[in-house]
Amino acid sequence: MLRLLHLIVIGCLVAAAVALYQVKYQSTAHVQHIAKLRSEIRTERERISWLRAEWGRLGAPERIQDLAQRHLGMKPVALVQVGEIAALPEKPITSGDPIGDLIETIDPPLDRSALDALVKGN
Amino acid sequence: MHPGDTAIDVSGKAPRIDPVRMTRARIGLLFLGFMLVFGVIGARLVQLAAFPDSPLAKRTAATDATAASRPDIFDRSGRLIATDVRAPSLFGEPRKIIDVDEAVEQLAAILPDLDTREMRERLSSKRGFVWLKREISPAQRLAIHRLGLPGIGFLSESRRVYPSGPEIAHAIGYVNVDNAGIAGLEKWIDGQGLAELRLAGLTSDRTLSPVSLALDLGVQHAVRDELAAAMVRYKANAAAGLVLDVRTGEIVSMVSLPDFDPNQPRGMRDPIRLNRLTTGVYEMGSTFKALTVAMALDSGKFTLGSQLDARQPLHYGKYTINDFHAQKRILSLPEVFTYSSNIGAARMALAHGVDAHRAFLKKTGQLERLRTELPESAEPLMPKRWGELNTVTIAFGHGLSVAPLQAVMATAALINGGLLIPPTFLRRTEEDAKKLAVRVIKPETSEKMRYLFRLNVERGSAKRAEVEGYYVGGKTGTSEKVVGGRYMKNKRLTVFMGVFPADAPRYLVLTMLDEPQATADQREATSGLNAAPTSGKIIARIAPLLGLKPRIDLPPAERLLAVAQRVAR
Repeated sequence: MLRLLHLIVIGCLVAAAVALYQVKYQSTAHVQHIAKLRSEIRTERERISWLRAEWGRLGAPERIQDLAQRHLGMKPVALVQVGEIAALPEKPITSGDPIGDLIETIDPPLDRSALDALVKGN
Repeated sequence: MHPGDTAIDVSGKAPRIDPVRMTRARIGLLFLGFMLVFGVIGARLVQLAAFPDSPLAKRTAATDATAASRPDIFDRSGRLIATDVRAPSLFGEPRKIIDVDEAVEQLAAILPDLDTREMRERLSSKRGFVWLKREISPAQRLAIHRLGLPGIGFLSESRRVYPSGPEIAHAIGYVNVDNAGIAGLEKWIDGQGLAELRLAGLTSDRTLSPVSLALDLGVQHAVRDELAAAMVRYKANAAAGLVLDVRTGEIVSMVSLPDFDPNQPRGMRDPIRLNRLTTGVYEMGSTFKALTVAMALDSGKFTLGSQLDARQPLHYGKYTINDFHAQKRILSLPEVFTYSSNIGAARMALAHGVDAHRAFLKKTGQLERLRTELPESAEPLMPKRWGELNTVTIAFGHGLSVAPLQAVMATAALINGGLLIPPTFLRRTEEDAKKLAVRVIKPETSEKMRYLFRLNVERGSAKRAEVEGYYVGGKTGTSEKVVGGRYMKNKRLTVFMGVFPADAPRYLVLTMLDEPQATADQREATSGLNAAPTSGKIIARIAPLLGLKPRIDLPPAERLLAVAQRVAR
């Protein structure tokens, strides 16, 4: 009886030791992972700040102006190019079937009377 | 245990001790001892599991904390003006270096701008740590790393970069190699407690909130671009420009040319590069007449219908006050403004007397040093004894030198409804501005000033500042520079104060040219011929950037007055 108890206790002990070892091992792995992620975050942060600085440099008005003058040939907006919404003409009245209207303008419906005349003529 | 031991007894009476009980007690003691030890171990385990604060974790946090040491700076629309990047710096540990000559030779091949003799001296010293070069490029770092020299290492340091380069030079200032602010807003940021934070080691990028400025990078560039073009066209020594939101006192743009690149602030102390708008003091010339006229209208001693005699020059002792555009007749008050009559302005100031004139200038902040966020500021230059002659000359802008920003603040008060608002480089709402504002003239007087400014562009000396659709108003000012105590006829400072839209002013534009020359098709280098058209060009470019829509049917200047009179009644 006592021997059986001893065996069980020893078994439990071994099992606990193994489990503890695994937990310890995992926790070390996690700590290392955290340290690695921290350093990655730091590197990423540094790269982000580099990229933001670079983005700022690329978008600097001086550089954009230079590029625009060389490649775009744009001009400042003249007063005549600016208008008011209220100054626009009224929107044309439509039937509410824009696709149908479009088809009718491209391909007008057949004129029945002309067709009839053609048939009668024959 | 020997059985005989227990048998020996002093008394001779052998006490009966049960050996079994004795053994049990001893085992019990041992058991207790083990329990205690295991208990301690267990408790420690629980403690370690519950608070996993190992020294390693603490160290990582410490290096993280030094990663960034200055806040980012953004303009009013969120564009980046200044940020920190990490750059490696090269250091040496002289005690660990085996062959100094070899090390110096190899490093010099990679870093050509390094002083080899100085480096040899540093590396031969007995010190434990010496800086060799701060802020090297990543490519250089890799090349040096590949050399594999013992006793040579890198430390990563924060470095300040300004992506827009010299665009905002004077306002932003610059930092030294240790990332401490030396001038401009960078120094101001240090003064806001950053220096203390850094001493306490608390400057991680998460604790520093970014600084948002009132400056607009796009407007700033447009102003700088136009000023640079004007400097070339009129062969000026220097130029300066400022855009102020008259309702809030926010400085939307501040340019002083020549400037510098804050990324490489070398030769920065050169006096030609000083910020002319805050650090220099100048006689603002005829733009000061706006203050004189406002005082005259506000006191009620003069009205827009007043007549002033400008037939004869004004004689004061050995001095004669003359008009530049002499009309030699009796002028109405608006004509005094549009013809920029010195005689007229002098008569107006004299009618109020020396004390009242000085009190008005004091009220509008022209007699005291104006302080903003910028650490640099200048004291106005005033006459030591302020007599009638001083009042006469100051009435048309001579004899009192102020920082241009100061004059801008006062002029803004004349047109924004009469409120003197201290200018700022930071964002400010209209409500906050109202709390800080001091009323210096009546709103009705301000309406009349708007009319005069607009009239001057329609009919007066500022015609060339007109921009179609934006209803510009303005006042020109040309002053002769004082060299060795004498006014120089050919060395001039031309100033223009432009305001748009004049019927409901939003922005004030100051343009200043130092020693401009007349171009081939001009007879003279006056403000109306150089500073005014430059302002016009600036306004045409910045008004759309500031979100103002051009308008088509704009009323003539007289309409402003009709509105003003209706309001007054």
